[in-house]
Amino acid sequence: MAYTILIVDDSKTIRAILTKTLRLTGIPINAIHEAGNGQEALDCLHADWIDLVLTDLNMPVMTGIELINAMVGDDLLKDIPVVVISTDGSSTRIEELKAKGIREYIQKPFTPEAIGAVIETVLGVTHE
Amino acid sequence: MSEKNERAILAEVVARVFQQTAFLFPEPAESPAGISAAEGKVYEISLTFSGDREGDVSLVMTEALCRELAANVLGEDPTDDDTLEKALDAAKETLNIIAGQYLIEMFGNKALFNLTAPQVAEVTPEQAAGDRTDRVCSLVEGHPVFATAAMRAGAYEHTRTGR
Repeated sequence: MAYTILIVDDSKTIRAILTKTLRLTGIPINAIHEAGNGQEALDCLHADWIDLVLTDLNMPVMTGIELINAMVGDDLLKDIPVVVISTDGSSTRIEELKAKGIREYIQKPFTPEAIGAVIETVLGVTHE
Repeated sequence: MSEKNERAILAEVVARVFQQTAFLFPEPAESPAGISAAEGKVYEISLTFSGDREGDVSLVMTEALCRELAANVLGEDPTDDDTLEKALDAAKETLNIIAGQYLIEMFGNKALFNLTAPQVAEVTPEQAAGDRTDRVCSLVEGHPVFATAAMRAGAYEHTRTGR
């Protein structure tokens, strides 16, 4: 199975790094979509089949927390796994987001190895 | 916490983030009078934070350093075709990470903050010099970097007495 992944970050730099990292992980990828904020992400989620969302928190227009709240309240989107990748290292914030159902939380700066390991776990990818 | 300690923490975080994200190694520098016009364009990248404390964090860097930062972060050789947008985007993301780490170092990982999206403004060498005594000065690959973190006193008093 090849996966379709949505990267949500207002930084083109981070989106480029994550795209490059995903291509290097060896995870079978069908497509990688990009969104610059939560609203663009919701538009993409309603238009395409997405297997995994990687999202930042602090973004203009619609934040990552607002995106997660919208997904949790939408029957079509609530089961899509979400991994948050943010500069925010507050344990209070992480607990709050895990209570909302996010699967993992990665603090920036990240290593490609950390991203790969987390995504493999969340998607249940195994290497034979 | 004394202002000296706050500046030492900021200097440490700036150095660590440049190393971790871009493999660049800032060296502490005496506060220079400013940035020479020969350095080219200079940008101030800033964001504000609110929550358990309120304030702002900023970096002042030359365009040349922003371009070097972007090339290192993306793992690419800098080319003349690289856009200024890409360079400033890398600088904004670097500031984001610095702010996140600085706030944890200062207030612990239980504290909650909301950061605004970083803003960029071109400044003149005279503006870059400014009159702030609270900034941390470094040299990165020969380019000056000024970092500043400021708390709003009112907000600090409010949270200190109100919690």
